[in-house]
Amino acid sequence: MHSIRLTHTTALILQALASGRRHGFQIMDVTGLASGTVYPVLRRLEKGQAVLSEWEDSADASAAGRRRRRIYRLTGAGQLLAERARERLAETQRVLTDGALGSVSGSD
Amino acid sequence: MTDARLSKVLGAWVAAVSVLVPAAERHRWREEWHADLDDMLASGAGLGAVLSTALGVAGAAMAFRFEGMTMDGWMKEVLHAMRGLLRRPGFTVVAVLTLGLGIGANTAIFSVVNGVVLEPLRYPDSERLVMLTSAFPGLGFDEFWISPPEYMEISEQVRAFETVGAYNTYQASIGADEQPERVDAAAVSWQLLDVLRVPPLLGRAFGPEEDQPGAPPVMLLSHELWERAFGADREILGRSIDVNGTATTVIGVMPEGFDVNESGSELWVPLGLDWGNRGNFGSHYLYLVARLAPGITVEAATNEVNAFVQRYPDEMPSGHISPENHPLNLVQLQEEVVGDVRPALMILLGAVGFVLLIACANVANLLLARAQDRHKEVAVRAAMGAGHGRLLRQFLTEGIILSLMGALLGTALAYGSLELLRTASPGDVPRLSEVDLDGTVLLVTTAIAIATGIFFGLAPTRHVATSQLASALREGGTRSTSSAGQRRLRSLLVITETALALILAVGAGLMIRSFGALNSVEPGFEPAGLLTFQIYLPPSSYPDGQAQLAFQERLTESLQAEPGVSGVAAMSGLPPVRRLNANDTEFEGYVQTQDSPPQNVDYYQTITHDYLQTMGIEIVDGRGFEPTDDGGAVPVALVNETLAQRFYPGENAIGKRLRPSGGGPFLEIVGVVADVKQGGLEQPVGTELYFHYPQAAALDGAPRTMNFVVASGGEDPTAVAPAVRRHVWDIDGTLPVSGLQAMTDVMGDAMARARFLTTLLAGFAGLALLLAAVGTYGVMSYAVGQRSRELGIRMAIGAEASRVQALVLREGLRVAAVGLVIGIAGAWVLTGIMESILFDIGARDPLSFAAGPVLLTLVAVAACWIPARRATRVDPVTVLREE
Repeated sequence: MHSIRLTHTTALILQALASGRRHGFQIMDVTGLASGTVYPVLRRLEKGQAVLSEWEDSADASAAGRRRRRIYRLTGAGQLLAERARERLAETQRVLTDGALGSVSGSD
Repeated sequence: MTDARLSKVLGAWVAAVSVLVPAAERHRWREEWHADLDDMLASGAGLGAVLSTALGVAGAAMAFRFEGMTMDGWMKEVLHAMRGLLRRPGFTVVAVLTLGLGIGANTAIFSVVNGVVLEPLRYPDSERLVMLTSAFPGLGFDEFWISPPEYMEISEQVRAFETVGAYNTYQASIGADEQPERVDAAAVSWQLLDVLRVPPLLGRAFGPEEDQPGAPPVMLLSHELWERAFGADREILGRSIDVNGTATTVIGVMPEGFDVNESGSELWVPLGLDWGNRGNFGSHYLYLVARLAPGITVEAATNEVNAFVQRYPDEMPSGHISPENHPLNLVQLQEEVVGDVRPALMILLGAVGFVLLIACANVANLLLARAQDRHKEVAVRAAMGAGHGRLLRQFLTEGIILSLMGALLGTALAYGSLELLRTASPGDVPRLSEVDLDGTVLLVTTAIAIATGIFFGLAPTRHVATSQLASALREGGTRSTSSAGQRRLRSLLVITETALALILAVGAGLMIRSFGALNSVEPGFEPAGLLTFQIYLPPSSYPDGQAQLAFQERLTESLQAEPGVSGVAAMSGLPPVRRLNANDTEFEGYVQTQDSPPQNVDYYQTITHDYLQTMGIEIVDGRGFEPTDDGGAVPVALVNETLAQRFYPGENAIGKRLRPSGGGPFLEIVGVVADVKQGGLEQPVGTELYFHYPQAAALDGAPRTMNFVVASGGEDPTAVAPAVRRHVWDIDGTLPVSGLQAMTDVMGDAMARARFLTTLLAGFAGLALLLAAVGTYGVMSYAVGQRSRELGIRMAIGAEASRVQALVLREGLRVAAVGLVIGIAGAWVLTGIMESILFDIGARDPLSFAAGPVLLTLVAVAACWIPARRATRVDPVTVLREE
């Protein structure tokens, strides 16, 4: 697990998955990241066993008149990782708003 | 486009990029991406967004392929490979050195060939420039100069030429009052500057008004002369400089590197021909360069010139030009410049190509041997989970690093050796200053080296299959044995190296013999202990023969008084390389028939009476010149043996009379002198006629340029050089003293090109021998290592050390012998191309063909000796215990 580098994009994708199962397009939509970024991260997360993926039910897909999607969900380990990611993102947020890097609102 | 259509297109795109995805995952990702893109379409996203996502998918596929090959991944591989190479310093050093030498030598020589032979000349559209010469087949002159009326008629009548320019080279003294200097100069017709089309850097070229007899003297300076003698003075235009006693105005400076047809001229004045005077047909002294008219090929121009020569005797009043007696030749200017030196350079290129092949064979052998050694390591790594790809990558990296290091070394060597070549080369390799390190060649030779590195570096991974690994591990022992195929391959490489090295050795041997023959040519005079220098007497200070004679006598007397000087003499031409005179001479009572030689003498030589003694030239018959043969006495002449034999065969030349064509008193031959080389050491001697200086001066026929020789008998003839200058300037401070050098240096210059070629070829042969020796040693050494078990057993059961040694030697020499046989055959076939550059030695010279194999056998024996000795040191107990 520690072999998965927790980059900002990885953290975002983990967050997206934490709120439910998704397929690639949804993740791109939710996170706003590009396909060239998202798929390699997903593949890495899968190899690191932080996420699992599987095809959706073919019957469901043909009923909806579309190709079957590949659905991703977090594993237990993945959930822990997502938790760390959330903390990290929150920390970043705090640093920015608390003005540790200097005030943005110009109150000085 | 409908969504369905677009979906199909996207599907095709996804199918295409999925090719990059590793096979196992390909199908899954292809479906997933197609589905996701369809979703995006269905969600109403804009076409731009969809396309950019599709593009991103391609990026993802590429990322999948090169995963693990991230920047850090590669860095780790490289460091690991370097560590591996450093752990085997011997192997690494030999491999890198071998590659470096092969690549470096090839790049250097090919750069020279490219710069000198292949690159077009530095004139705009230089392939449209041709050189015109005349010929006198009856006199044996194939490439002769052209006379002014001939030039004018060709200009006017041959329409294949847009413009025809003419020039004549001479030597000029410039700047009498400041720093008198002697430079090579050329008198050019204004058309020539038009032909060459190189605009001046400063000022302008001269036009037709200035190229008239009697026009105010003007000149163009070369860039180098402008910098050297005038400090690159920007105000040089309009300045008046003394040139050969005439005040000449500078009207332009040419750009750097400009020259008229490799003449080495640094100063250009108008030729000043009188286009109204068509009388001097016999006065051949011009070089002609013409530019082809647009759309005309060299062949078409040649045809037109030949047609012109054909109809000339019938149509032109002078009848001077004719197909049988005096035709014209045309050759492309580039060919004229480099044609002479091309064979030699091509031979060098071939030689250095052989060296590269040998180097590559060596590296291949090295890598193969190393591959063998690492078979166990490969097996272990593979068993521990390294995929085929990883192993491949590791060995690939090693091979590439070796090749790159070799290429780096090679570049440095090439650069250095080009510098060396430029300074050490003989003056007569044309265009050497234009030669630059050729990037293309470097790339090609590096690519060859890298290919070798990759091909043989990957050898260990070729047999990586799980079944083989298991057996490899089971076998145990510290080495695996090489397959018969690999043994054969190594033997093949050694045979090839030996054959190539032998061919080079034979070629070098031929060159060395040829050079030796040239070196032992008798020049006809004794150069040791002589100092020579040249003085030009300008007409302004020395208007007539008497003034010239007075100067010469004064200088001779003054120099003879100098302590240490044992002899002083002067002559018009400096042997052994002189410019051909080919003067028409009238032999009294000579009957000119169809077969008898035409009345033309190759060399006129005006000398002082001490000349023969000072130069050590033998008098064969009669006497030399005496001080009594002065202006008031009977005009006398000397001839050389060749002239006597050609014009007075079977008779005594003494007492016969002759004179230069054109009237004047007859001279009586009073002596026959031994032949002296005039046209170079490798050329046969020409006919020579000697005049006595005081008598020539009395007739106002003394040449203005005099060469002096001073015999000082000491170790170093140049020790008197400062004294010489002092004596000259004591008499006339405005005269530059040029060409001050030991006579032995003059001789050296005459052999400079032969020495250059021989040194290079011998150097390459030596390199090839060294590489072949290293290669043979490596293979033999390795083979012995492979057979240590067998040899140990042999010795354990009682075989003597000497027998084991002999066994190993025999096997090694057998391989070498095959190489020798192939090499001899190859040499026999290939040395034929060296005919044109060999002097006095046939291309099948038996001594060289014998020496080559002997040398290579010695090398092979030496290379096999150490491994053979090592074979006897094998401790049978140790080897057997390793089982």
